[in-house]
Amino acid sequence: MREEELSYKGIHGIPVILEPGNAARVDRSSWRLVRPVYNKDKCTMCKICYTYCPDSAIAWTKEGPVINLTSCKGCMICVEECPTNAMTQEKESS
Amino acid sequence: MKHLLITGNEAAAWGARLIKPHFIPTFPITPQTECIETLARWKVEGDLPDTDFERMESEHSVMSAAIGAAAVGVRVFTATSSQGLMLMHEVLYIASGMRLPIVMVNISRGLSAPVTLWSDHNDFLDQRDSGWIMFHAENNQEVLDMVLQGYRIAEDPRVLLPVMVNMDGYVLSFTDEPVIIPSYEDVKQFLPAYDPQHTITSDRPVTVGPPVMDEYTDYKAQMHLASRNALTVLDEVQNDFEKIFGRRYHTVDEFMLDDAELVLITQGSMSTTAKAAILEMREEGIKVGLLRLRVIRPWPGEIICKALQNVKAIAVIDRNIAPGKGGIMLPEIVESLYHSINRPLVSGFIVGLGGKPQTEAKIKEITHKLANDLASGRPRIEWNDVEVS
Repeated sequence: MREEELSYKGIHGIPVILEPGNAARVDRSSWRLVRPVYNKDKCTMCKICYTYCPDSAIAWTKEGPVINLTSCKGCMICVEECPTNAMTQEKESS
Repeated sequence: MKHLLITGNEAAAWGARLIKPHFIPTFPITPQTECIETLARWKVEGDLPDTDFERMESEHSVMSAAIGAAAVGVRVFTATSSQGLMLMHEVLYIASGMRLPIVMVNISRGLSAPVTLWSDHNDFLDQRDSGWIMFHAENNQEVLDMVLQGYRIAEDPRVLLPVMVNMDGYVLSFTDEPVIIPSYEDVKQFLPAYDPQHTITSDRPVTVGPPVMDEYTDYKAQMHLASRNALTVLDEVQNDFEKIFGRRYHTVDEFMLDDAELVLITQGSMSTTAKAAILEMREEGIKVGLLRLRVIRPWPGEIICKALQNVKAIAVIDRNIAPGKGGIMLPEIVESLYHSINRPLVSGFIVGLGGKPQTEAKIKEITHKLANDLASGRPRIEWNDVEVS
C-alpha cells in the first residue's frame, strides 16, 4: 500500500485492549506438554494453587479448585507449590 | 509574565513548573542535575503542591515510572542527559509505542568512552528512530517555550506521541540568559486541562501495549502517521502561541536564506554563534545564510527542500558522529535534496564533539572551505577539530 493511502485511526490505531478479561477466552491448551491433575482426597483447601496460578486458570469453588484447561498453559506452578501433593502432573497424550 | 536571568536547566524547570505536572520521576546526571535540583527545591518550598516528585533508582526506572503515570492519564515531566538517556533507550520505544504524551528534556552530552561531560548530539540522535518527537533548542527561551508547546503537540489526538526537547549541555544548561517567564494564567489558556485519550483506571481496566502478531506493522504505520501529523499540529500551535505569548517558531529556522548561495546547516546552540559570524561575513559581501534544524523528528524534509531550492552549496555541520558512516544529519539532508530539481553541492563538516567550542572563526573557516568546494566542484567531508593528523 502506498503511504498516502494509509489513514490515521486515532485512538483505534493505538495498541490498547479496551475490553478487559478477554485473555481468559484465549485457547492455550496446545501450549502444554504436561497438565495439572487434581486429587480431592489429598486437598486441604488451602487455596495456594488458586493464589499462585499466574494466569488465573484455577477458579475456587466450594468443592475446591477447578482447573480451566483452555487457559492453563502447563507451567506446573500449582504442582510445585501444593504442600500436600494434591496437584500432580500428567503428560499430554499427543 | 516576568523576565529572569536563568540557565537552560532552570528554563526547563520553569517550563515544567508552569504546566504543573502531576508526576516528575527523576534521576540526577551531569549536566541535567541543576534542572531537577531546582524542581526539588520548588517542591520543598511549596511551589509544586500538586506534583509527586520522586527520586528513582535509575533512568530506566524513571522512564518506566513515567510510562506508568502517563498510562493512568496524568501529565508527566522528566529530564535526563547522555548516559541516562542511553539507559532509558529500551523504555523510550515503549513510551512511544503505547502512544503516551510524556515530555522530557534532554540536556545533551557526549557519550562514553572516553568520558566527556560536555555537549555533542550523539545521545539524542541515538534515539532518533524511537518514535519520539524531537526538538532541538537554540537558546534558553526556546527550551522553556518548547516544553509548553511539547505538551500541546504530544497530547493532540492526531499525535499522541512523547516529546523530547533537547538542549546543548553546558553551553545552555549552565549559561545564564534572559528568559521571559509566562504567567500561570497565560500557560493555562495555551494548555488547557489534560484530557487523556486512553487510560488505565480501576473502573475501566485496559491493557496497553499487548503482544500482537499480524498487527505490528499496522501499529508502526499509525505511529508514523501520528509523527507526520505532528508537523501540521506544530504549525497550528504557533498561532495560539503567538496570540498568547507574542512569539512564534518556524519548523525550520531560516536565517538570511533569501539570496544565499552558501548555506550552513546547524543544530542547537552553535547556531547563535554561526548567525553572528554570518552577519560579519555578509559585511564582507559573502552571500551566506543558515538553516537551523530545530525539529529532528518528524523530519521536515519538504520544508528543508523548499528553503534550499535556490542555493548553490551547503555545509551540513554535524556535532555528532556515526563511526563508519560519518555525520548523522548529512545523509538526512542529502536524501531530502535528492529529488529536488536544483541539486546543490553538499559538504559535510564534523565539529564540536565532546563539547569542543564552535567559535565564529571556525564558522568562517567552514564557510570559506565551502566556497572553495563550490569553486572546484568537489564536495568534502571535513573533520574540523582533529588535533592530530
